[in-house]
Amino acid sequence: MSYQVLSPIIILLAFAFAIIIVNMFVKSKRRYFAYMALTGMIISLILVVDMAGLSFTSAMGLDLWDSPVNLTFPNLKLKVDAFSLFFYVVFLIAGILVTIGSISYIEKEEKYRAEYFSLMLLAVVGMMLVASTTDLFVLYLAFELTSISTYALAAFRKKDKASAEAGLKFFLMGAVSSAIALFGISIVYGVTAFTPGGPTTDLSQISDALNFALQGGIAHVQIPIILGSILLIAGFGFKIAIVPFHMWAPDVYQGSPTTISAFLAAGTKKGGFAAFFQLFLVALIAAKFQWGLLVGILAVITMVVGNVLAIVQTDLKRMLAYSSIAQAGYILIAICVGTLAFDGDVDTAQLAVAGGLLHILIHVFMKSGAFLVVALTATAKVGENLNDYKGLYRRMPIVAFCMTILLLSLAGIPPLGGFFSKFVLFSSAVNAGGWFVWLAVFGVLNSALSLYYYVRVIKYMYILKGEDESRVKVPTALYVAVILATLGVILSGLLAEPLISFAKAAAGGLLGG
Amino acid sequence: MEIPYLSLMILVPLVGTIVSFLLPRESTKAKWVCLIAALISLVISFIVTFAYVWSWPMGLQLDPSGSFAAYEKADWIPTLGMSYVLGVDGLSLPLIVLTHLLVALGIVFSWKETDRPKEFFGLLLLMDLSITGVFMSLDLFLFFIFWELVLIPMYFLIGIWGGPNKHYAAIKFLIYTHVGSVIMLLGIFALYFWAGPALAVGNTFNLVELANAAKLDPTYLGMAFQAPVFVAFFFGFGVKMPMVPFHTWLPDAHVEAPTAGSVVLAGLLLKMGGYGLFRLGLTMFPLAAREMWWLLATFGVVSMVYAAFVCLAQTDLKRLIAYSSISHMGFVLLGASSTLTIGIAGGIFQMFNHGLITAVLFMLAGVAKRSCHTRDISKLTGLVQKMPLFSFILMVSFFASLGLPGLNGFVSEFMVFAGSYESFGRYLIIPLLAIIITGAYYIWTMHKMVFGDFNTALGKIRDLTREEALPLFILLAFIIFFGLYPAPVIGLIEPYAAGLSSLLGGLG
Amino acid sequence: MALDFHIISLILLIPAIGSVIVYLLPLKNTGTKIVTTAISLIPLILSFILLLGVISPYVELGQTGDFYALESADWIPQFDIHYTVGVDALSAILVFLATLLVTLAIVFSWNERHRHREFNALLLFMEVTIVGVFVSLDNFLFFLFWEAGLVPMYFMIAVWGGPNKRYAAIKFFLYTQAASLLVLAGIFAFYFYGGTFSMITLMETNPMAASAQNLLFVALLFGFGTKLPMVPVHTWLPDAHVEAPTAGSVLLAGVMLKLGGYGLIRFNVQMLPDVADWAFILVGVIGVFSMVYGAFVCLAQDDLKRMIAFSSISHMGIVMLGISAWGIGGSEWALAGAIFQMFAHGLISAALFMIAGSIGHNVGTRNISELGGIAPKAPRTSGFMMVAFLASLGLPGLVGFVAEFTVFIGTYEVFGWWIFIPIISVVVTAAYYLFAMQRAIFGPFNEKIKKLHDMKWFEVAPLSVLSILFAVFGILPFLLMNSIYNWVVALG
Repeated sequence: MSYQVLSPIIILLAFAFAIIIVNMFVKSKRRYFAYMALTGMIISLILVVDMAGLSFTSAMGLDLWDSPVNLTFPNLKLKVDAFSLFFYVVFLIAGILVTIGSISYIEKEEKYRAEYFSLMLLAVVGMMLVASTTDLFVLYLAFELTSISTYALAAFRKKDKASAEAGLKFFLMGAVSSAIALFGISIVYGVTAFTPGGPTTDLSQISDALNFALQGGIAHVQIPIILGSILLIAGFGFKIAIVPFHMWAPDVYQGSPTTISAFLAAGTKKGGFAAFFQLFLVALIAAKFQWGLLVGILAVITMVVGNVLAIVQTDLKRMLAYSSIAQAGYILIAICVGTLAFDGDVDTAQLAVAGGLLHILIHVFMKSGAFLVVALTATAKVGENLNDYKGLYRRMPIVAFCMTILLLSLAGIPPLGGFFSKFVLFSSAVNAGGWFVWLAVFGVLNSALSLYYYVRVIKYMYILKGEDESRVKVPTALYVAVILATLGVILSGLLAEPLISFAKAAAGGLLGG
Repeated sequence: MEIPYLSLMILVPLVGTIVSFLLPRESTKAKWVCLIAALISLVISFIVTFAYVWSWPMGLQLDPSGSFAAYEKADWIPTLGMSYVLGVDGLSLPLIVLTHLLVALGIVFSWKETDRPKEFFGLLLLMDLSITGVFMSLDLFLFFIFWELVLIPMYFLIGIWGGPNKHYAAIKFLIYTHVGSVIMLLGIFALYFWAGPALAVGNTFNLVELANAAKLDPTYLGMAFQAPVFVAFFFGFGVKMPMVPFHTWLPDAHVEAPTAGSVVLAGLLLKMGGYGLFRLGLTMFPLAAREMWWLLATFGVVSMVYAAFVCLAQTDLKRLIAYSSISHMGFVLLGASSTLTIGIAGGIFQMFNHGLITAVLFMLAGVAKRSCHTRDISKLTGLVQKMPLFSFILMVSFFASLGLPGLNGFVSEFMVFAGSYESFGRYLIIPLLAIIITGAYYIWTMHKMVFGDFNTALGKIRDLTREEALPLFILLAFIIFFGLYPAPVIGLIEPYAAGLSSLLGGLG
Repeated sequence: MALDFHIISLILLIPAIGSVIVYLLPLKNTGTKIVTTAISLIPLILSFILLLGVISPYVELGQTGDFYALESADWIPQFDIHYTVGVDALSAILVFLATLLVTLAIVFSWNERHRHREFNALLLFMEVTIVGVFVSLDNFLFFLFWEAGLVPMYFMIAVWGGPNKRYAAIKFFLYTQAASLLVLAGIFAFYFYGGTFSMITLMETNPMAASAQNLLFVALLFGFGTKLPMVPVHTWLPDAHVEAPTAGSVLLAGVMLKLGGYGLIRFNVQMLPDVADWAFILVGVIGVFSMVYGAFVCLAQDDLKRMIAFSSISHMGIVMLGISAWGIGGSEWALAGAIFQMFAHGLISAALFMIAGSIGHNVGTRNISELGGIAPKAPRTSGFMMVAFLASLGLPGLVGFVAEFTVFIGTYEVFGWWIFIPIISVVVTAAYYLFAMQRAIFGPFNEKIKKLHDMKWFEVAPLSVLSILFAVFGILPFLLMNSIYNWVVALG
């Protein structure tokens, strides 16, 4: 077996431990650990991109794998296909951007720097396993790996009350939601025990088992399945912060170190989505009549609540947190429309999932970029509040410009990346017809609504005059991270074609498997 | 040799914009960069126009079907059926020339702008780029991109250089028109997923393919599909146009916008709504357009009459002109509702004429503000002695706007009404009412401003400066020329209008 | 002698260019006047040639169908809109009248010093628009001149008018513009039924459905009738006249009112041949009402100009009466008289307004009650006043009589003894004119008059020309009447 396709994960694990080990011997104040983490993730990203179809390793004469890779390891309960590779890219980009940003942000925490980067690598590894697994229980375990890493990261500034509170809150909420999710998993597992295949935790076998059960194979199975679905939605809904399980998100994002907020919003939340896609579009797809409409309603409520609450925020991190909630609502549309695959309309479902995946990828750039801008202004002693942004274009013109691009992309203004992904996402809902069209209608109207608060930030930066208009020295690493994120947003608009193909292939991988 | 003129018309302003943004902070060279870029685009648009009209061998790229004057196509996102298609014909050419002209003149008019000049001129040029893009795009996706792109520079123009209430006006403009756009976006999805397959061209955003197929099967999918999607587009375009009752963003935006912004807003931005209505609304939904002419006609007439009445009550010169714009854009709807060649051509020509006239009017309002420091009509009285040139241009442009024969506005309004008689009959007198009200408010205003007793509180005021007079007189020359000899523009428009009319008429 | 140069285009073009030249030339008052007069003489001579070509067998103009000196060129070919001009007897006479009165008005206002260049340029521009209406044979072109004509008159009142000029100017503009809309709607109706803007085609083919003709007839009646003006849509006229400067009043009453009459004949009579009799009865009733009402109102006027304004309303009623008699009974004399009345009233009202203007200017008041016994001190003023009043009240031997007489003959032919109603107005007219004359110029001199000049040469000259023409056409009416009558007969 060509286990070398697992090398991206293995490399990250190796670097995570290496950082800790090196830290035992070298008490350096320099930035070595950040560079180590960065090296690991960049190598990993190059390998992932290579596996996804660029195949320059084989061009170099190395016969490592046939790209695009599509392999399953039944004994490891893992698979590496277009879907998991797509999410690898998502997580690694989030990790890289946040790590670069952290180089200048984590100056004060130099004592625990090694742990910081090591935990971040582990969190990425956990999420990559979520996207790769074929087993419900492994999925849960992998997700816990990420969660525990991020609890520590959120509370990383342990002397800072807000950070400690955020970490505690995050931990409590996370633990409760994990428990709920576990309960849901056990109910589903229990149902499968009555089917001919016997009890199973394999995702696709669960799907077959549920299909059998709902086709009349088991009497009175509706209620446990509905209950299991609701518990899973609630459990993982906490992780991706959909309304009404979103309360923790603004507080945690506000309290955590801003780079970690960026990582939570851009990274781990996407891990939650990977789980959501795996759970609902693979394992539970046969029960789509039991949960489809519920997810649709939650999608609409999530976008509306997220956007409306974002309007009243003056703290940028809170505002971005609510905007993140709203974006989760858009992505849920993909899950709703994706259920059509069960009815055989794979094309529509594939388009929808591709739209959702694309939005996840581009959201990484947009959201991590936006949070990093806030981290940057905080580090540069400008502040994190809307009022601090008055006249920002005079103080740091390029940062202001980048923020403008990022926010416009979040609002879905063409020709930026956010527009393309929303375009595909909403268009698939229109294509699906029926009540899905209403999802698109709410989606576009919410998009229009969201423009209001995004543009308000732009107004503060460009239109209002600040009291202090002196130039500000910008921390280099954050600056680089912000520019990279902005480039990502612009390029994903210009190079939409290969990205859309990749997302479609990933969606095909999910729905086909 | 084939030259990609159309792409150049996007590229040149793009380069100009980037260069002007990259200049040092308080550089004064930006206006030269932007003016030159706008003039180059203007020359290109003239070359395309004349090469089309007189068949000059200028190396235009032609489309296979021959219905476009120039046509450029490249693949973009084939996975989802998006391509880069540009094309111009009788509908878009006059508007494109108008775009470059007004932007160039707007730059000249704002020559003395000292507040953040490089951003100001760069944004004006960005407007030029995005509006031209809207008029040239023949791919729905590309069209929508440019359509949305227009919002950004306009938002900044109002928000940064606007009047006292600019924040409110800018965000209202943005949200209002953005809502219109996203509703239209749903319509675009519907065309892509349902109309394309039904018309046997597959899932595509290519408007040429869709339109040609719709021409062969104008009743495709029936009213059940066409009517709601048509209404979605109509709403999107109607907000932009704007039509009553979706017009409330316009007066606010205008009153606060800087003069060049107002010129572009009224002269060009509103035309996007009308353009879209013809290019998409009527062309893609022949059955719905034919059956629902009353919808267009009602909104058109209501806009014409209502806005004209509202004008009577205005005291701010700019607000007055803004409402008169709403009233005049109602003519476009009325012309479109006629489904006759003369009415459609009149509607298109009205857009062109209104662009010229309203640019003059807003520039005059700008001069009044600069020179007299007020736009309050009751304070701007008896200007003829101190500002003779201003008064002269004011009178001619007011007459042009109220539809005096011999000036260009009359010709298009005449054509619109001539087309509308068939559907309206004797009730044509209702839309005609708008004309008399228009006459009333303009004459009344002109009377006070020009012939009233001089308001000594104005103190020392000046007449036009050179950079104000130049654009005004150029526009005035066009207004008079096309009033007396409209045939060149109409000759350009007429084949398109005839094609559209036969498409719509072929159903009845 | 055959004349086939672009005579009509020249009549339009020369004053148009002239008005720009006059506006731009930086001349003093007198210089401007001389230039303007010289320019205005050219169209006058040309239109005289045109008139001769129509009425005299000795001067030959190119004739196409019913029209002389026809010119046609593409304008907006896509929609069949052409620049088509030509004249027949009806329009040739009115063109001549218009060019004549413009020249006389220019001379008469020799002393107008307020913004003199604009003033003279506007007079020439007004000439273009008025002549343009008479010669246009394309509906688009017709309406273009029709509407454009509002502008110079509006400015004339708004800038050079009396104390209440703003109200009067706006009222004038809006009233006549509202009326124009009815005309415009009519043009669209013709286009809808006929598919053309060509007036010649419309006159020849009569494409309009008979059922639609009655409604359109009434619409156009009010459209043109406002300009004429007829009671009850006349109220703009007295205000406009009272405020307008003399030259403006002369052209307003002398030719602009004729636009209404011309339109009635050209459109209502020639293009709507299938209307019901009741429509023409309506014309007659309104005409007679205007005559009688206008005359009675005159009795109550103290302002000389206001009185003349109302008398114009009364006299234009005669035109309507003539049209009505032709429409119902087919009386050629009635219609010929109506057309002749337009010409006659043009000459007479021009003279009347000149006199009123000169009195207002030379005496300082136009109120009859404040005048009195000025004949000995201002013999020229009084003399011209007597001639003009007598011509206006219809003294035989002067031009007004011939017109009214022929209309009444036709009326009697058609309506019989009903004629006594319009005859009342003749009696009343005689009464108010004689009464006014007696109070204003005869009797003891009113000592309250402080200053009093008699007319100067530039006032005498135009009035002399007009007085001579009263007599010429009063004694030799056949000079025009022959052609008019033939034109009416050809109408069928």
